[in-house]
Amino acid sequence: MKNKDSFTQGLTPMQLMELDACTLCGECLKHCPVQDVTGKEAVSPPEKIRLFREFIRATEGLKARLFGPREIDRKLLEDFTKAVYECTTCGACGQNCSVGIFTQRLWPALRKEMVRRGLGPIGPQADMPGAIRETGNPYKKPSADRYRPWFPENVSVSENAEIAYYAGCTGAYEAQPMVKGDVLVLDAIGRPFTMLPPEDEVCCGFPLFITGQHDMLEDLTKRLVEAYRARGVKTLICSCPCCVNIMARDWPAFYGKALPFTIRHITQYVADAIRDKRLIIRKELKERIIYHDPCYLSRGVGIIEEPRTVLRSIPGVELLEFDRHGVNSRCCGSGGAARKVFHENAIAMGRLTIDEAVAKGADKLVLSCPACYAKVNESMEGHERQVRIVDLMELVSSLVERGQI
Amino acid sequence: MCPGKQWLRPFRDTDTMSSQKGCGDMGIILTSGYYLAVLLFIASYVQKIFLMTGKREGLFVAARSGITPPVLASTLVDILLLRRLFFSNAFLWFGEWLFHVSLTLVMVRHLRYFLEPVPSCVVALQTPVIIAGYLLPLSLIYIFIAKLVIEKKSYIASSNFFLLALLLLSGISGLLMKIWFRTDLVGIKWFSLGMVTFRPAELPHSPLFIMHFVLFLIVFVYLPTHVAAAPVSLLDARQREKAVRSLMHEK
Repeated sequence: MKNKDSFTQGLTPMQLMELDACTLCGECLKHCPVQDVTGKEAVSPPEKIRLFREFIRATEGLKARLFGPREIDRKLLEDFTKAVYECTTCGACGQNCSVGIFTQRLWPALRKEMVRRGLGPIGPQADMPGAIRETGNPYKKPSADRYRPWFPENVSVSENAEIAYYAGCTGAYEAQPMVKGDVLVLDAIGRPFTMLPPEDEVCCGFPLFITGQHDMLEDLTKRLVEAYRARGVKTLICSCPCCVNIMARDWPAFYGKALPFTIRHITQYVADAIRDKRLIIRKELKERIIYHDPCYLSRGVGIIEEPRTVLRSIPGVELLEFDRHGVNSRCCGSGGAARKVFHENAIAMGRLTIDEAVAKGADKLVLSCPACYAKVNESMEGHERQVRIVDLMELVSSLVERGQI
Repeated sequence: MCPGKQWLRPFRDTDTMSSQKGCGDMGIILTSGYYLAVLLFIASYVQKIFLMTGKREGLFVAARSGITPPVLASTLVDILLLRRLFFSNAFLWFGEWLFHVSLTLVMVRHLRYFLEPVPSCVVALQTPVIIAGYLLPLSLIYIFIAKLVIEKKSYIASSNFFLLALLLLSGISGLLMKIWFRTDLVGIKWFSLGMVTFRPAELPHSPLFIMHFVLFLIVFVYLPTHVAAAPVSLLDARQREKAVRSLMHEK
């Protein structure tokens, strides 16, 4: 592809409108976690938009239409690509944007354009389609090990059920206490649930979507949706915010129609169970705990209250809040598939989360995202400030017992 | 009337004009500049519409609600009060809101140069609009100080500052014409009316007016794209905000 070919093919008309809508006011920089740790102007949201507008102007602007498109410098394009991939796509910029740009979807769209031009993705991200094709997960781990290392022996899973649980690749391979906690809590609630065999529970497509590699998305979505439909599933439960986000927002588009089941985040299901007295947490926990809102859960799909409902139902718990919480939460650094490429940024952002949790006097930092769980734990290694990190369902599962009700 | 400029047909009896007459050459240049600026403005927007409606692969569909009266009302609040900026930066918001309101009012006041008879609503707004004329440069100075001196913003878009500087100069030159260097307003009106009705009239002799008009033309050509696009993105943001609950909560 030539550097003077169209830059707008992968963007929707509204996204083109959003590019034009940016006032370059720079207010979003105050909320950008990557800015907090790098201060790089090139990675800042308005600079990325300004440059992309330049690309469009040079290739499809009025002057380009009249006198022919202008060739864009390859180095500039490469630098832009790097900047677009250094972002964690947390969407805090969009949440605080003066003109309401939906950046949590704009950045992936720009990445898709860079992939189309052969400039993206970056580093190990490029191996993901092959790994998913080969093993069903982006980590290239054997599908046989998807459940085996963590699945509790005393929990049984139904062949067919109205409730299904999707563990997700990051949870299954990189945040096993979290998915183990999920299964234990589902079991404690007592309603039968089903899971796909490990070789059939393939990637939800989010890592490919977020890195702009969209070729396999339709196939992955259809495989998963059809497999759950065949088991009579009416509600699909998942604890990974990224999986939940693509399932709720994008799966219908890739599937081509409305999904035959409802998507629920595990905190929604558990909060309902607590409200209906199907799950009662009796054990006391006299601790100060602080909850970190995952970006793709709070800003992404609006799940803010349910995790807090679950935490408040634990007797003795004092719930603390980060300065930035709910829809304004600060990314812990693990988002946007950037954590494996821009490792130092992710560690620095993770440490900011840890530092604030410690400064607030929290005994435990509670997370509810496998990527956050993996990266914040990694950030803690060698860091002078320490706090006990726990996943929300890992915590709940330690306080309830099977058949307790 | 300058000799040899037959197409600069006088729109009125030139004998009644002020004794100070401008040179036709500059009139031709400015009038041509105006037509060119309007042409560029229209062409760039037509081109944008073609670009947005062209065939593309983007399959992403954001969950969004319909455009209901509550969505419209809240969008209107977002646009008129710059609500999102207020919650992000109330200090800067004050200057920006003042700037946008005073600029809008000043533009409304300028309609009297392009319309005959002048609509009664434009006449009725005379007093607040004159105040806005004073507030416009003050608000721009406030924004400059807020961004550069007080907040020391890490991201400065040079294009924004270029435009703000143009507007500041334009506002100051307008004020100077009103307060100290009174210009032949009737002449300006004939010149402006002549331009928009394609019956070019003579340019009044006023270097300050020429400067003011040239600044206006530059601002017009460089009009930021957000003027038209931001209201649409604000409406979309409201629609998305309303639809979020339908994703995970209302099933």
